[in-house]
Amino acid sequence: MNRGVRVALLLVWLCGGCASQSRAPMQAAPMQSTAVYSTPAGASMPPSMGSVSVRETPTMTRDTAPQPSTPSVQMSATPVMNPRENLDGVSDGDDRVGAWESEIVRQQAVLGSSLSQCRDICAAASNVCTAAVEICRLTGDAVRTPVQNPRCVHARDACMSAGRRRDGSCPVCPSR
Amino acid sequence: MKHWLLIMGLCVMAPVVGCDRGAHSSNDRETMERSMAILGTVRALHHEADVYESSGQFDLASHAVQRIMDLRLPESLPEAEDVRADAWGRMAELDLRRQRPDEALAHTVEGLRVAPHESVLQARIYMVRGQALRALADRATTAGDTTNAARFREEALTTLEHSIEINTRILGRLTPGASR
Repeated sequence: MNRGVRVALLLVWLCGGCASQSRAPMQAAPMQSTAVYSTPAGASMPPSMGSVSVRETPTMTRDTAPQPSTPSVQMSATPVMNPRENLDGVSDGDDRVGAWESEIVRQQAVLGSSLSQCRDICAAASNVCTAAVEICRLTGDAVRTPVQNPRCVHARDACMSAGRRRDGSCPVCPSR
Repeated sequence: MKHWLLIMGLCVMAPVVGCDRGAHSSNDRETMERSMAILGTVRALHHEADVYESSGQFDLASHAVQRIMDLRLPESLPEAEDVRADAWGRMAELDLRRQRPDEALAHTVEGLRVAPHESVLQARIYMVRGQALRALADRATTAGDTTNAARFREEALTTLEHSIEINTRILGRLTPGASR
C-alpha cells in the first residue's frame, strides 16, 4: 500500500478515536443496532451488513476478551454491552468501557437520589418534631399534661404524622 | 499529490466530524471534576466542623463553616443554593450553641435570602430562626421586658409553625403513598 494512503487511513482512524471520546451521545443508536444483529446468529442481519461477522452472544467480543462483571445493582433494560461495533465487526474497547462507565454513573445517580430522598425525609420529619418541641415549650405545654394549647396540639399532631410518613418510607435513616 | 489533498481535507474536517465532540466532552468532564472538587471541599469542612462541635469548640466549628460560606461557588453549580443554605443554617445553629441569639437571627436572615426556594434546608433555617427568637424571648423575660418578650414569643411561634408547614409539604411530596 502506498505510504500516502496509509497515512490517510491512519488519520481517519485517529479522528474516529477522537470522536469516540464523547461517550454520552453515542450510547443509544449503536447499542440498539448491536442488539439487532447479534442474536440469534445473523437471523435479522440488516441487508447492508453483508460482511459483518455476527456474534453468537452479545457478551463476547471478537477477541474473546472477558467482559466486566455485571454490577450488583439492578441493570436497566437498555442493552449496554457491546456498545459499538464498527462495520467490519471490530468492537471498540474504549467505547465498551465507556458504556459501562456511563451505566455505572447512571446507577450511582439512581442510588444516590433515593439516598438523598431518604435523607430529606428523615431531616424533614426530625425538624418537624424539633419545632413542635419548641412550640410546646413556648406555649407552656412542655411540662403540662394534658396539652391545652391548640398550637401545641397541632404541632404534636404534625410531629406524629411526620414520624409515620418517615417510618413508611425510610425505616432506617441514612447517617449524615 | 492527490493523497496529500486527501490528508489536508481530513485534517480540515476532523474537528467537524468528531474531534470537536471530544472537546465538548473534555469541557463537561472538567466542569464535573470542578464541581466534585468544590463539593468535596464543602464536605470536608463540614466534617471539620463536626469534629470541633463534638468537642465543644464552637468557635473553631464556626470558622470551618465560615470557610464554606467564603467558597466561590459557580452559579452553574446546581447544588450552590443548597450548599449556601446549609452553611448559613449551620452557622446560625452554632451561634445558638454559643448563646448568641442575635447573631443567629442575623444569619438566618442571610440564609433565607440565599435560599428562596422551598426545601428542607430552608425549613431548617426557619426552625433555627424560631429557636433564636425563643432565646430572645427568654432573655427579654429574664430582663423584665414583657413587651418584647411577648413579641419575640409570638414571632417565634409563627416562624416555627411556618417551618413545620414547609416540612409537611415536602414530606407530602416525597412520601405521597404514606399514611398521614
